[in-house]
Amino acid sequence: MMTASADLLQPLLDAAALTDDLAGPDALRRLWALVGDDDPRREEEFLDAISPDDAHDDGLPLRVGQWTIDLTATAVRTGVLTALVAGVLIPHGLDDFAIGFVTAVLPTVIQIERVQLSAGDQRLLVELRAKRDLGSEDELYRALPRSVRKEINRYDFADFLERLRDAGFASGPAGGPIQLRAP
Amino acid sequence: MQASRPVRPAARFSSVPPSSLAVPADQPDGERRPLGSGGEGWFAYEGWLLGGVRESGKADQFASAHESHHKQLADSTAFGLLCRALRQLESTEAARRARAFNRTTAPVQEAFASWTPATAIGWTRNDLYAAYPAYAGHWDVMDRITSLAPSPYLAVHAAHASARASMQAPVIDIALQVGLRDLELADIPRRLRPDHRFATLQRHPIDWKALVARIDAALVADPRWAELQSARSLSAEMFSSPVRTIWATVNDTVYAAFAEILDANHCPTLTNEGHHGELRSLLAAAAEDALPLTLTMADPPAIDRTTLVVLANAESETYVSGPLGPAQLLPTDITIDHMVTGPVSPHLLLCLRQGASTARNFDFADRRGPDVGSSRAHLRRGELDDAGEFRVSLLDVADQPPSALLREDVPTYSIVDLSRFDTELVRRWDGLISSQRTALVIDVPLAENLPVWLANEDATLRYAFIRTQPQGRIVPFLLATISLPDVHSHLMLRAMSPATVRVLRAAFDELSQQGMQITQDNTVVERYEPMLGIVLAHLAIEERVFGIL
Repeated sequence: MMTASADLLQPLLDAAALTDDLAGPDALRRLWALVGDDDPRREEEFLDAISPDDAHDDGLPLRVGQWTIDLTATAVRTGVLTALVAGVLIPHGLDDFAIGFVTAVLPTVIQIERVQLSAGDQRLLVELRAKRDLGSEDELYRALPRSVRKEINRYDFADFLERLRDAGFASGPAGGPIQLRAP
Repeated sequence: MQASRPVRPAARFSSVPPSSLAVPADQPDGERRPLGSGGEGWFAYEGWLLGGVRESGKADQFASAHESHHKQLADSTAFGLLCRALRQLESTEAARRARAFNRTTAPVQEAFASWTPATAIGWTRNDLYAAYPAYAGHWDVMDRITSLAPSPYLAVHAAHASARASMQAPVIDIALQVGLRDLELADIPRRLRPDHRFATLQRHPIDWKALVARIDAALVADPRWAELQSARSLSAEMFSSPVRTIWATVNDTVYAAFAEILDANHCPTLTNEGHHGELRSLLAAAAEDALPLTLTMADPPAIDRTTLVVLANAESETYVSGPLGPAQLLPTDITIDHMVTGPVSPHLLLCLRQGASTARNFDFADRRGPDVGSSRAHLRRGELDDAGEFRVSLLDVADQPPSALLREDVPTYSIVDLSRFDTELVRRWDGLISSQRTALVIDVPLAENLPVWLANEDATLRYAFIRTQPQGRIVPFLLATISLPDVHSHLMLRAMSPATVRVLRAAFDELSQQGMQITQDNTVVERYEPMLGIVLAHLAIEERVFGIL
């Protein structure tokens, strides 16, 4: 089992044949296919969540070309992995949340323990564990990075925690890892 | 005729019929371009930039309409207006906050502005992918909503209604409670955010059978509805003036159906025109707090509002015909003799422009661009330099008397920004601003000013379009005069993208049909020769950035 979350991504990149350091939307769509959600909205949400900040400059650009991200950068790898895990988590009772939302708050709340592909159909399997006490909503909200706190509504966040609890995530002795499979 | 610079084009957009003006359906197929080869655009809250246009094909038509659709959606919804207001506070913090808000509109904006214009110009998904590969995914998202509609006509309505209902969230109350200066995106729960609302609509498909029954009931006596509903493909006529009342009824009904889905899923939604009330509250609060907002409410004009709205929308374009050309500001000891210039025949060219218009049009090698803005009277000369590159030289003549610029051997022509053209300016440059020697650049919104100029029933706007192509760049111009019986005003002109030419042409046709005194008159071209050829050459060759400042 690998521990560093960025390294968890490599087998997935291999499986999706992402061999270049720089990846654009078309290549990253292949990666998204491992999550198995063929809803075009979710795919766009995934791309939006991992696209570089300058793709969202002041206004709405109409570009002929495509953006790319650098898959050798640790922060980028962590972001991509988190967004993929968000894609696996959402169908388990969190349909009401966007990939971008889950990607932003997940690292504060959930530890990604294990990521692998199922042998048969190459679908993503993840093992997740609550990092903290999911009951302390205010405390957890304060634990979010400041930039995230400016954009995530606290009631939405409380709602998100409730759904995690409904999905079986718990902290303390009862808080063992939970295994989820992409649909 | 005089024009004063109005405030920014007002926010009076409502649900505008889509494509009759924005994208006429009768354009011939453009040449298929290699992957990713259309013009590029940038919508930034108030208007848009359009550049990279190389031919008048469908890709550029799409680019122009794409940006126009962004503006229409922003201006006709409470969330869009809130984004504009946040951005107008003009601080780094405000820009960051506006960006965060704007980003939540992106999935709706891009789906709407990709699918709708593409459909109007008859593009398939593959056509869109060929020109703008990054937008095919957005097309898919809107296609998921519209493909369920029982006819192409209702599919277009579904695109408009789903996008607008997603953006018509009652957010202004929260904004005012928190205060515009302190408002963060975190203050807005996701049920009021466009991205979440749009996703909700995708998860809960509309009951089209029930909806068509509601429209049938509303339009029971109108045979045109059955025709529109049964048409197998879209045409410009389906959105034109004579059937606009049907558009309004169907639009209201389809909008209400999407709003009901949102409401049922805990996403409260304003009525179809609910953004007007929201904007009124916002402006009242802004006035109380002395916030520097330039958003305004407009009085409803007497003419069909929709056409003027479409015209105003088209006028939000800033058209960039190519990279800026080099320019220099000459030392003041240069003689006026030195400023005699071509093309066509030797002459002097006096430019009385807004400082910002001069500054944004040239690449000043000595970085003296900002100084240019402070002086607003220049003689201008264009010439090929030793490297074969075209260079513009400007000589400040703000302190010169008119007599110094009036010569016997060569004529003096003038280019004057319309926003500066008044009796005082004519007096200051006495003898130089005659109608046969002067062209006025239309740097004010026609949508705001036409009703004023044509309030005199004897006045007529006579116009023609002319296309220039200097050094391969495409620069079409609108030429116009306001004529009274036996009197012709100064020539007015403005350059714009080929796509916007089509929109203006269609808007002028419609306004004319509605009784406004507007008529196409190609004799405008010859009436102002030889001045016209000279002025057009200077503008098209030397300038690159066209549009209202």
